[in-house]
Amino acid sequence: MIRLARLLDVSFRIKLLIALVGSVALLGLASLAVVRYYTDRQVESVVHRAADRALRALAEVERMRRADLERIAGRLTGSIRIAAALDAALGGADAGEFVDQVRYELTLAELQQGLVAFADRTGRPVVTLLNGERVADSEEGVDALAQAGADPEAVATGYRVFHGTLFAVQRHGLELFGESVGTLTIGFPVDKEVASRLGDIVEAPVCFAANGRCVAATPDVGDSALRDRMLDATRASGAVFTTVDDRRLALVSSPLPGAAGISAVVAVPLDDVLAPFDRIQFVEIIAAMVALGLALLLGGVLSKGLTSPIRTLVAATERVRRGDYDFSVHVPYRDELGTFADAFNQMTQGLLLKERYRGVLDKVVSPRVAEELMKGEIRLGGETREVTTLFADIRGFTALTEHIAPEQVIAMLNDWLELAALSIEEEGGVVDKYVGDEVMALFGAPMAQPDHALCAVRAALKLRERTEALNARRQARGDPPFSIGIGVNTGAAVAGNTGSSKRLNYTVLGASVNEASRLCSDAGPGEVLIAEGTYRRVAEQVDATPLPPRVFKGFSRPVTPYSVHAYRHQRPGSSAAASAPVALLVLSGLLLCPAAAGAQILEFPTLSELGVQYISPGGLVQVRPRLQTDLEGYFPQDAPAWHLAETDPFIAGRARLFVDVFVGRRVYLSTELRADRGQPARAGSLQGHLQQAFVRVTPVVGKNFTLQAGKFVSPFGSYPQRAHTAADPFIRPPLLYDYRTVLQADFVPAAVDGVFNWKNNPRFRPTGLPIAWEVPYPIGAMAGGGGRGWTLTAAVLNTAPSAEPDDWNRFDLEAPAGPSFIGRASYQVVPELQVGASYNRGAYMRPDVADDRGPVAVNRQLQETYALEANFTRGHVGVRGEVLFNEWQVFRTSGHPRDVSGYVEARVTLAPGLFAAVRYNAIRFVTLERASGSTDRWDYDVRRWQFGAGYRISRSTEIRGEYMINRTPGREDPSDNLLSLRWGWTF
Amino acid sequence: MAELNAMEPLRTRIESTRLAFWPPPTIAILLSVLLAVTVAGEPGAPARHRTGLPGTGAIEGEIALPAHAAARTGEMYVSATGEAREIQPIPVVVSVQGVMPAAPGRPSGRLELTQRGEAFDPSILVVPVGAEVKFPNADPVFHNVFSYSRPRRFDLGRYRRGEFKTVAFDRPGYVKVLCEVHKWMRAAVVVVENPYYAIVPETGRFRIEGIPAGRHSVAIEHFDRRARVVEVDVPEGGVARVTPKT
Repeated sequence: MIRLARLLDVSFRIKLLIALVGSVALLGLASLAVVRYYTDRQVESVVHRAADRALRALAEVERMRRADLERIAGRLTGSIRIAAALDAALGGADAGEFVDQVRYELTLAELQQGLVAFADRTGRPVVTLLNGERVADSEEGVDALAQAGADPEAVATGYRVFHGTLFAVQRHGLELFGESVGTLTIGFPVDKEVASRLGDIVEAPVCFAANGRCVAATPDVGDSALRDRMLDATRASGAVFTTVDDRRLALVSSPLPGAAGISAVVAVPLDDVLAPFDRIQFVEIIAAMVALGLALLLGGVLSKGLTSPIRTLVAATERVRRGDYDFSVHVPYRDELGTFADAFNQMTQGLLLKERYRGVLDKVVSPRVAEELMKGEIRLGGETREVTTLFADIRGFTALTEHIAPEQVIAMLNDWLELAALSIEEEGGVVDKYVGDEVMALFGAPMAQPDHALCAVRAALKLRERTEALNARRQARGDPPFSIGIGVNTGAAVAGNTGSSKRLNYTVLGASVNEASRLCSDAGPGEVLIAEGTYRRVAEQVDATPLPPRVFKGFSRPVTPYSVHAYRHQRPGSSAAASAPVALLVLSGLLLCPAAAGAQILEFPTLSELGVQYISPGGLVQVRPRLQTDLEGYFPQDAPAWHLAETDPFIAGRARLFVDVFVGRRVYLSTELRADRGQPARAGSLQGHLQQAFVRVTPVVGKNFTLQAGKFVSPFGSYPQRAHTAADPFIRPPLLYDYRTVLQADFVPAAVDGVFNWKNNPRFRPTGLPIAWEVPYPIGAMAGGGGRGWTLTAAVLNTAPSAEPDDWNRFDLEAPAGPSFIGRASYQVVPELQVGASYNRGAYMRPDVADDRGPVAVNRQLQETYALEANFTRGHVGVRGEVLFNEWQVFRTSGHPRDVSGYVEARVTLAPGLFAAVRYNAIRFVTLERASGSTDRWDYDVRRWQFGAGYRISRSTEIRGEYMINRTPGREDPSDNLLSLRWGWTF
Repeated sequence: MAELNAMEPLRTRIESTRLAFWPPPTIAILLSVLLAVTVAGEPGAPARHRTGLPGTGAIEGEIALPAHAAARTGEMYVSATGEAREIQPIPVVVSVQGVMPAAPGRPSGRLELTQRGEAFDPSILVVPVGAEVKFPNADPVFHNVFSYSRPRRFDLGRYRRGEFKTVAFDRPGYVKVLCEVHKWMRAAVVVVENPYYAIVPETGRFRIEGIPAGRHSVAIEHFDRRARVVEVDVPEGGVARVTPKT
């Protein structure tokens, strides 16, 4: 424990450094683990598929050969001569005749290669021919099959090793006059040639192993170590990973169907599979090292930068604690620490000022009164309250001072008054005034004091003791001693400030005060007299003797003074002292408690905050840049169909620079430059694009009407508004928008407040048919406006009949199929609910489409889409959806294919910055009815589920993830489930 | 019929099983002959054997005939005239093996296995060793009669109606005769070394008499089955029962 405590007992700077470096290291390790996990999955999938493919290919080879075999077998089994000869051979006739007969039939059937074996009904071999030559009968291989099927009608297939060669065999029954006479086993060799064909198909070495021997293999297996490893692999239950000749291989053994102990071993080369992962891993390690180095460097700088002001402030606090207020700290940051330092400086200045006032005040009034005055809680004007008044003076002062030098008198007086003030203040009283040798003190005013009577009495006793001690010292010095008298009384008095508004004097007035003064005068040397009022309150705690009542001047009734001898009881202890450390502890804990981690580490200044912007004097022209970077990872969750190309996980990066220019209140220009590896993301070279460049004019300031032209993200359904803000909770767009253009004018581009935009996301593997071949970021012009809850938008823009991004940037005569028209209207029913409808009409295919007979000129292929949308938001929950009715023309087809598509999604904000969302999309194609009356099923229905979640760590960065499930109803494939992850930064 | 030998009545009985393929007048004639022979032969001919030579005995038995398997294949045989045909049935033959003092007589010139109506006629023919059997073709179509059986392998090839080929059977045994063209046609030529044999009728009961007393090998043979040989002690003047389980 001690050691641990010592370990934790490092400076804040080291802790910060450790936290930063540790986070980066953890992140690196986590991403390595993720990569490792997906590597393993991918390898497993590839290996499994290779083995599967090998078996399929083998089955295919067998299927092709089987027709041949069946033809020959049919010839042999259909020949009555063969059956009769077998019957005769079984009856003891010369088998030579039989062999001749069989050979004759084989010659007619042109079977030169392969195995032909006859057995009797019990499976005992009778005649075996290998490549047309009779060989010794061997029970190996044949009998097992012969016995395999009791029914001679059934054709059994399988694999057998025969004379060291592997054969794919079939067994047929032979009959004579309806009676089974035996069986025919016929097979073709699975030899080096077959193995090579399989090897070509699976692109891997293949070896057929039987009982620990290699019976056929691709040439590259040979006699090498690879062969031994492959034979070993037959005994393993799963794939065996090995390295042969610096090639990484997965050896996977699949037992052949219908054959015991025979298996096909495929050595799947992993180098190609692992290469991207290796690269990722390599890059990750390098990146992690660099990140660690940077974290170390940054952490060092940051922690130094962060801790140096803290140290400055700590030192300053120390000075303040010592009572030194006359300085200021300098922290050269404008962050929270800078604010803190400013506040600290203000505090010390305030303290300094207060201290100065207090110093002056304390000298003219009692510190307690001064304090109350400082607090500003003392009201001008009086109040009646119960107070205890104490008067003390020196007996026979005038007589005493006759023989003493004036300086000594003052010194003596000050010594004693000092003692008096000390005693009074120690007991919570306030020195009201000094009048010559007399001191007047108040208890219970101006501050309420519940036990003011007792405090006054104790102060009186203290003063008496101290005076005695002082006298002792004086006598020791040879100075004459003096005696004092003290009078104390408790009672109602008027307390308040008296005097003019410029000069005030806080005091109390009243009979009880006068009585105390009289008691003081009446008291004998060293006597403490208290009146009845006080005595009643302190009788329990003091020893006092009543004296004979006396009538003071100015008082009508007699007063009974009590002479106090001693203080009897100890005051009960207060718990206030104990509570102080607890309060300190809680306070310090609160101070040590950090703010949200993100705000400390992951918050970076924006470009504007760094001064990278231009604002003309007067603010007419404003140029504001904003930088956004995304790192996205795509991890396919299931393998594509076996005939499709592999889909590897990949990581794509993207950087975008938005520059917004505002000219007055009427003109707004926006550009977006981006660098990535293509759209959709692919493993191309790094490219730069001018993604957006448009100008928007608001003719009448204050009116909701705008005109816009250029290349922009624009208004189609409700989706685009989210495309430009963080409102879209998903990484990937709805299925409907995989290819579709969205336009929106009345929403500002990402540069202003948006963070993420689906337009930048790569299509992964396009699912189904695109519903519209339109253009992300088209070129066009639009007008929009509205009021009273209505929003209307109309646009004309280019359509590109292609999925190639290059085509999207063209608006000339050759490229597109012509312009599209888009219109949209929406209405805000209640503040929470918005509904809308949109319409789109335009060509989706270029006119010179290529027929299979060659290029032909066809009419424009028009597409029309009607859409309805609704959007509901209340509190932390949002629900929205859209349904589209789409129809397009297909040349050479009289009917027009149609589809209905839509999505509905819900999103909930769980905590600030944290959200979760779910979306369901579907495209349903309607049966196409042709003019001829025939119907075609457009069987490309797709359904998609998306589950997303994200967390905005700080203003600068957000992480989010999404799992997407795609299904094509009625088909196994393709179904590409996809895990998408993104880490985005905005500056 | 003039030279009635031991084989003659047996032949007649077999013919009775072929009635269905014979023209009606022939059936009538044969029926009358059969009845005549049965009535005359049953008490007469066996009596001669039973009272026969001293030192002889008889074998009798009952054999369950093998069920015909044609239906099992489900394969239909169709003749040139379009008729559905079934595999030719062949009765079981029981014969005492070995050379005996009483050798079968020399075969007559009438030993014939005719191809008629796309069938062999008769379906079983018992001949002594050394007999020559004619294979006349009585059909307007070609046949190709052949056998791969060990006692006699032959392949007669194709020949016209009215022509015949002769095959000499020099070794005893069961010779399976097939036609390559018509896959339902079959017949058996049983080459014997002695006169003690019986062609088992549909009842399954048979009796062979006049066998020299002593131990003999008796072969029970059928086209679809392996030959079965049983050892039999024939008591003098008595009857040995052979009831093989099939």
